[in-house]
Amino acid sequence: MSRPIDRRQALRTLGAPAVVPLLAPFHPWVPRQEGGWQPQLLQPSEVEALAQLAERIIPETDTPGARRALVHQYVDFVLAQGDAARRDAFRAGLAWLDRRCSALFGKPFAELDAGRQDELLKRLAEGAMSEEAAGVTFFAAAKQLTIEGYYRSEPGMMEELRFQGRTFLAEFPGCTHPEHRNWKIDG
Amino acid sequence: MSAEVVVIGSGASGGMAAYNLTQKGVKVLLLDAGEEFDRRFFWTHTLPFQGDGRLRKGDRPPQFFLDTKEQPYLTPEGRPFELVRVWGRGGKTNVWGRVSLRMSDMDFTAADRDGWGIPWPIRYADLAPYYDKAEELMGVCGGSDDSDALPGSGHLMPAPPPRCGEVFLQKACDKLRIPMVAGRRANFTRPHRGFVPCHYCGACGDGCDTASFFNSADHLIPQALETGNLEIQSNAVVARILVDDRGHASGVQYFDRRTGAERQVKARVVVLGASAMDSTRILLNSKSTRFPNGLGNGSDQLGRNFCEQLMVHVKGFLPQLYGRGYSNDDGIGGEHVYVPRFNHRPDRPKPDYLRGFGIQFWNTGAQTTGVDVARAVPGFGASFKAEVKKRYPALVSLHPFGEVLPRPENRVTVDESRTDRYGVPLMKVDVRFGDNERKMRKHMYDTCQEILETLRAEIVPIDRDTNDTPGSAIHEHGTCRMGKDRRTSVLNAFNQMHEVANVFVVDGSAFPNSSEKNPTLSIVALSWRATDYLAEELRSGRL
Repeated sequence: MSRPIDRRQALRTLGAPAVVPLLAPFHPWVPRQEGGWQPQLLQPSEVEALAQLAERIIPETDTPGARRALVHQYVDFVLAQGDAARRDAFRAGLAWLDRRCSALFGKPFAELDAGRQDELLKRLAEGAMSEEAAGVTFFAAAKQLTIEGYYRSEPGMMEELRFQGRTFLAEFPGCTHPEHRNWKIDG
Repeated sequence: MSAEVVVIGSGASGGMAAYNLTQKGVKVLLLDAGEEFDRRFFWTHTLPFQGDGRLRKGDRPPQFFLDTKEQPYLTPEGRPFELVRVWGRGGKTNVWGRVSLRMSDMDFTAADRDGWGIPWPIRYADLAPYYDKAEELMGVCGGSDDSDALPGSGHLMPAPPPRCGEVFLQKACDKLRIPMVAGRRANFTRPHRGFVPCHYCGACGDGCDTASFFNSADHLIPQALETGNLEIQSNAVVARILVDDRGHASGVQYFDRRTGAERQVKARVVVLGASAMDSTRILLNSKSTRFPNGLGNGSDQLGRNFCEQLMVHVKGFLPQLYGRGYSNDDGIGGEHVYVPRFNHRPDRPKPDYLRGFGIQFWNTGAQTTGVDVARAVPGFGASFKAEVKKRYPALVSLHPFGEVLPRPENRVTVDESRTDRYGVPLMKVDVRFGDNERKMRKHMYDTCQEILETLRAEIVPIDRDTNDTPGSAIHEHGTCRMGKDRRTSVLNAFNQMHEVANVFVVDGSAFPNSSEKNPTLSIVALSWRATDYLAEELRSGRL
């Protein structure tokens, strides 16, 4: 059965980073809401830092960014449901980010302007400095969760990628581009 | 309670056993470890963010997959095994991958040719008429191809046309002289037996709300019920086959999944179709003075010789498709093309490993949320977001499936010291891949890379020392294998136990080797053939 597995498990893997490629690529479903939301795990200051970090990773352009996609709610939910080691590592990462920003710029991450934030994140994304190794690992985890939260959201799927699938078609047309039919590998 | 034939399991194998036996007038009691999944409540077209709202309202998607907390299995330290089980009407066919490939004499005689394991006691000619019938019943679509590795068929519905990415893959394979054929899948591309055809939503993994792909719950069980010869006992978790003084099976012991109450049912014949691992667990737990190490296990082969398929995954992006925007690539869910095994062909270098692999291509094109694409793009910020969008329609995914050799030490056992909620010993699965798999894996990666390089694709970096965890293919075989020799096998050529004539095992555990092919079509054909034989044995009074 490839699953794209998730060659496969609905809420069973909630919070697990594993990709189940064979079955049900859309799982897990995670509740998000516009108003009246309360975090399950994170403190308000952590939520704000996370929301800003996610927005730097996927910012608002001509389509919404991570904040409007409520990625911070997704991350809070997934961490709350997941295993303790992952949860603790993520929160330690947020704390590291604030310590590092305070040391470099005299302020925690959430109080910096976007330019300063990007300056640090660029180094973390490239994995350049050894004294920032903890931050590099954290950034990779945060990016991963942001991606999952954003591209599964309504703004991410429908506005940014303009997804139009999961629908009813009488016939499946396949590739209809004449230039692909005639395309030569050597050409 | 008593029954002429008790069938354990309602998936592809048990469902077919019930279907065929009841059509022939045999009274069947089907024991199902779960309940019916109601198609009206499937989340087939639910997008992830729509699911959010449904969850908040207290709505839940169908819980197809068995929670390991309810029914644990054991693995040795450091050797994980991924076991996916669906306990409920139709079993895994509710959400299966639907790939339907005929095995060939290359598979049935593999052990004769390379000396590894034991050959099948049957040949392609024995199973071919059943493949014909199974493909017609299951509504398999596909092409007109026919080769030594993948025998052709005149019984298929039309194949859907390829997606853009698959057109490119075909051109690359043509250039490399790698065979590529239309995929064969049990999705109905035409109306079928009173069911509407596939509506190309691509959400097969969530269960089909129109039952437009083959599954046992809609396409075998109701037809069996119509005969008036089938009774179903839901929530019946089978623990053991009971044995009489003469060493014949006398019935089945099971537990009610809701109340935990123990029940027994007498039977003239028992047919196991509980999936390879659970059938094996049941047989190993069926100990008696006559069979101290499990029912019909005088050969000590029961539980041994586990085999399956090795999977790796390679992804790339086709620059030719960059920036083209979303295209509806849902189709029939999985890929519309398939690379059958080719490593044996005379124009190929002789491989340094045994057996072979085929390649599947699910999630090629814009079939998913974009998460898979974004994971492969470096950086962050507005440029990252733009690069993801550019690549979204351009994803090609290559998934080789290779045959894992059966080895006696790769095995299922039961641990008397660890029991489930019913007090029944848990299964322990001990599987590791070997040198043959490592060598084959290299050839898999090389081939995928070659195809993508031919297309000048941007290849997503891969760790070539990795493969999926054992069990991930969800194609378990070998632990109750068929064979001619009762010293080296558990079942005869009709899936009947050598040592216990009134017990049949009709699921994937009967395969002596796995081949590189997805097994469900072969399981259905084999169960059909075995129960033809069983019905004749009953009619003639030999059983």
